[in-house]
Amino acid sequence: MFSSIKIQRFRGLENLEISGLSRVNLLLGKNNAGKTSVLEAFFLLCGATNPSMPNTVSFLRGQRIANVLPDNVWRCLFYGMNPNSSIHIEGRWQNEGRCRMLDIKARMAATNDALESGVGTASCDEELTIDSLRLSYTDAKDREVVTQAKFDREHGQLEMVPMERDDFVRCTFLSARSYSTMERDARQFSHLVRIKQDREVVESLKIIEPRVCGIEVLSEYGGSSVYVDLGLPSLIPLAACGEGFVRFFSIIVEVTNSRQGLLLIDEIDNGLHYSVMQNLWTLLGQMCIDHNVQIVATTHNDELVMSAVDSFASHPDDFRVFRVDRTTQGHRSVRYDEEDLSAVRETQFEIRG
Amino acid sequence: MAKTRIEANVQHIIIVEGTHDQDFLEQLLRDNGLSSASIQVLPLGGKTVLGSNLKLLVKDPAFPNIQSLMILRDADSIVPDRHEETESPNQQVARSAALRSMDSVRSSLSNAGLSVPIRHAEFTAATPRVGVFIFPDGQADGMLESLCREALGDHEDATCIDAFFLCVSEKRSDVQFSPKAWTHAYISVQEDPDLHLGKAAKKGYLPLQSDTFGNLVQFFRTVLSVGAQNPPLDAKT
Repeated sequence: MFSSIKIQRFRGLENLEISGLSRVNLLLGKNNAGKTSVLEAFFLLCGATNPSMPNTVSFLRGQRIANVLPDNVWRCLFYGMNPNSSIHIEGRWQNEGRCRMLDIKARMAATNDALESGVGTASCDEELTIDSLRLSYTDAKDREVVTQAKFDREHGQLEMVPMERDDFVRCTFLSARSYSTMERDARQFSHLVRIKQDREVVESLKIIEPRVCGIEVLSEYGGSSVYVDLGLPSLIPLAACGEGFVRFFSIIVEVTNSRQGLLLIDEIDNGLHYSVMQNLWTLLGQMCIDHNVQIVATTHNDELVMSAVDSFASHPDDFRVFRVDRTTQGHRSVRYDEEDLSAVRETQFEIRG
Repeated sequence: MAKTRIEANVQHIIIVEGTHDQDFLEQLLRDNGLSSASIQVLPLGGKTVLGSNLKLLVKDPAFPNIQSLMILRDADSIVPDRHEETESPNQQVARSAALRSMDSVRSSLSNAGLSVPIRHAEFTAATPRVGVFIFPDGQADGMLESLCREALGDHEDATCIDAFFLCVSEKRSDVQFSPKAWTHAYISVQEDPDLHLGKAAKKGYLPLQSDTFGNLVQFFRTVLSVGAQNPPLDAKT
């Protein structure tokens, strides 16, 4: 588990440190406070030797790099959209003596350095755009791995070669904006079938839909899809189920598949009815312990926070709440520990910012 | 139920126990020309939760804007705070209720990482400036209603209410009536008889401009009237 993370010059966060992380962590904060950026920082650090990760986090925000310069997408990763300020992310994993560190630097190049083909015009442009990203990862044993994402202007392609590392941590990011694809759901659930953990998912889904008696992965139209058995004459495609059910399915499947790893969930309460939240936390808390998974999730939902406080009352050390505040002096994180959360329950103090 | 939070643009916070106290204080500020959008009266619960609630208060995103923090407490029999070691009965007898109340609040302030005033009605110099007012006057045992009773001493109903309690006391020698009971008896003979203290204040039943509340009003003015004429008392030194 990560016990802390420090983020510098990444997206809107100039300098933010979060310490005292626990098994299950909720991030609160106003809109645009930087909660999702914190999740992205975790994701980048876990995938620090894979140079496609900056593109992946951008993709999850709906930004896509086509066969054009990636400058617009990559520039958004840097604080103040200024690629001259390198990104620094460091996190302490379990009892490692040193932090794991990732530095991302941009290399700039002139936009127009050649005649546009077929046109009898050339210009001398002072604008520089990001040509490549250099990812420098240093593990807790001070070993450095450097990778690069470079845009090949001639062929309009990105060159990215991931490197191996000894301290790999499985990390999954469930975005708030889109859900898993049918293919991913099918692949992930099929893996659980192979390791005989599919029944755990089925039983868990009964929290939301008591009629669930089975999940099947069926091949059709050249691909695989997840179907839900509700005891009806025919199976129901997962995609046809309610938003909360699909969200819940993704969370449960990813927790089960994230053994020893980290699961990042943006806006965890999306689509979930308040009545299932208490059971959701009881279930997630136990699953995270059983599978040794750490969760960092964001939410705006007060009922979700309070139900988590109640659910973790018997093992409060496994749960923390943090709020990310954007102040005139920059960002700060505020941690709510067991005593704070107990008081919140009694006095109805607003902790969401 | 509305959540407790520091409102936007607030710079001064007055902490009381409950919503009745909140209503009373808001009316007292209005009647004495101290009401302002920069002042918020916050009911943070009873004495047993003051410490944990102060810790929550300092974590509020708006707390860095706070210039002064005023805590009002009764000097009646105090329940030890969560962080305070329970005193033996002998120790409790040796100190007045007012001093024990003051020490309890000081302990809560310290645990919340706030500056701690040494004496009743004095403010610290650090930001936010912190002051504690123990009802009725930082020395005698009593409560907010003690001041109310004193302020109503010249009211035409007062002698009747005194006579009422005297009559009951003669028949029930085992009972000692508190200023709270006296004030409620007074409110019960007003036009709207079933109001709590705060609503009675808002209704105008209490003389909130009385000199009896002068020390309390002056306590507020120390930090609410910003200017060189009110140099801070550095209680830390």
